[in-house]
Amino acid sequence: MDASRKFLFTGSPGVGKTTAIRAISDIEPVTTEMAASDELAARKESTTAALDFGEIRLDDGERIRLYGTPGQRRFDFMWELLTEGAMGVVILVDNSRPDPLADLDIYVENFGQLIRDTGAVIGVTRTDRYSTPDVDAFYARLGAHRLMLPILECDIRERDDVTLLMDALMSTIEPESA
Amino acid sequence: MTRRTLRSVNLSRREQMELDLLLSLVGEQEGDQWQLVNRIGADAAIVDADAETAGQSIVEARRAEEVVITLSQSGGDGEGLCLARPLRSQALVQVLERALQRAAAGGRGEASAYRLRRWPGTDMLRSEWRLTRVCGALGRGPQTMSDIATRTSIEESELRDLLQVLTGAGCVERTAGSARTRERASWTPPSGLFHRLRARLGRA
Repeated sequence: MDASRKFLFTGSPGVGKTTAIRAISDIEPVTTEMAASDELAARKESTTAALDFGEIRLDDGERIRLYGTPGQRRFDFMWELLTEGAMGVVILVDNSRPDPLADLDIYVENFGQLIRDTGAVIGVTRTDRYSTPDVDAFYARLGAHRLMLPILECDIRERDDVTLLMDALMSTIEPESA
Repeated sequence: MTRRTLRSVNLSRREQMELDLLLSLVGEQEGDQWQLVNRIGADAAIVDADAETAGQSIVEARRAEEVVITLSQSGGDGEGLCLARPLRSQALVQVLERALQRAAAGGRGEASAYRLRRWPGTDMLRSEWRLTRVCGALGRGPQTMSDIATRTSIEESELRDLLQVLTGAGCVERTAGSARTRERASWTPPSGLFHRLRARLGRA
């Protein structure tokens, strides 16, 4: 199997990387968990401190791998390893966090080379309850990075929304429709 | 005085009434008398570009050889056939004049480049998957319609409609500057891979 057939899902801890992968994966995502000893324990029952892995199986048997990066910054040494051979990255931003725009900065900067070499999409979650910052603010922040990327409000529990993220991501890389 | 017909698509009842009133006032001043109709095949169609089905409505109007005018909150870039809410008589007159010119010229003369200001929202992308292709192509920098058609493999006649939707939604604007593209550093996906993946995800 060609190891280069992969996409990355990244974002802050608890944003829903595992959930997003599960929404479109043809296998149940493999998740390695470890107990959180910091404030993350207050946010969710479990936290991912290693890789999430999912897979989309094409009709011709080819497999597209979906990797969720560890969210905590103390594991950011793994981010560079994971970018090798990746076809693009889905950056998920949780709008309920104290500073979503600063979160965006972290992932845009750390995955900047991958973004420039391939493509990326920004998925902003929990906007139904947390409407600010709005999408315009995210575009302004991306503009400061000299980037134009799709920014989509999404519910990553919904397959349709995650599918839309993937379609937008692929369009930033290869817009051809056929 | 020449009689022209204008079909409204997805406008609210109130907006239809406002449009009807404006058309009657405009007709008293100008050479053409526009009448609001419901039947497809009018001289022009005014489409609510904020509606989820805007893309589809525009395609249907074009197939009926109606000149398409879009109405939206943002109103686009002030060029072309885009109107901003609320309707104003002067803007309506100008757009109707351009619509007649466009009809006479066969809709040609679009050598200027298009620039992406932002991607449309998820509702619009859900309703018309080709919008992601157009925005993806424009993400590399301002491009002419011909360039976009080449990159996306979308026919120019359909691409015109899509660009009008995007312009009406404030996502795209025309630029007088020369088209330039930012080529990606080194990587292209294996041939056909993304098409197969999109098909698998139901987005092809």
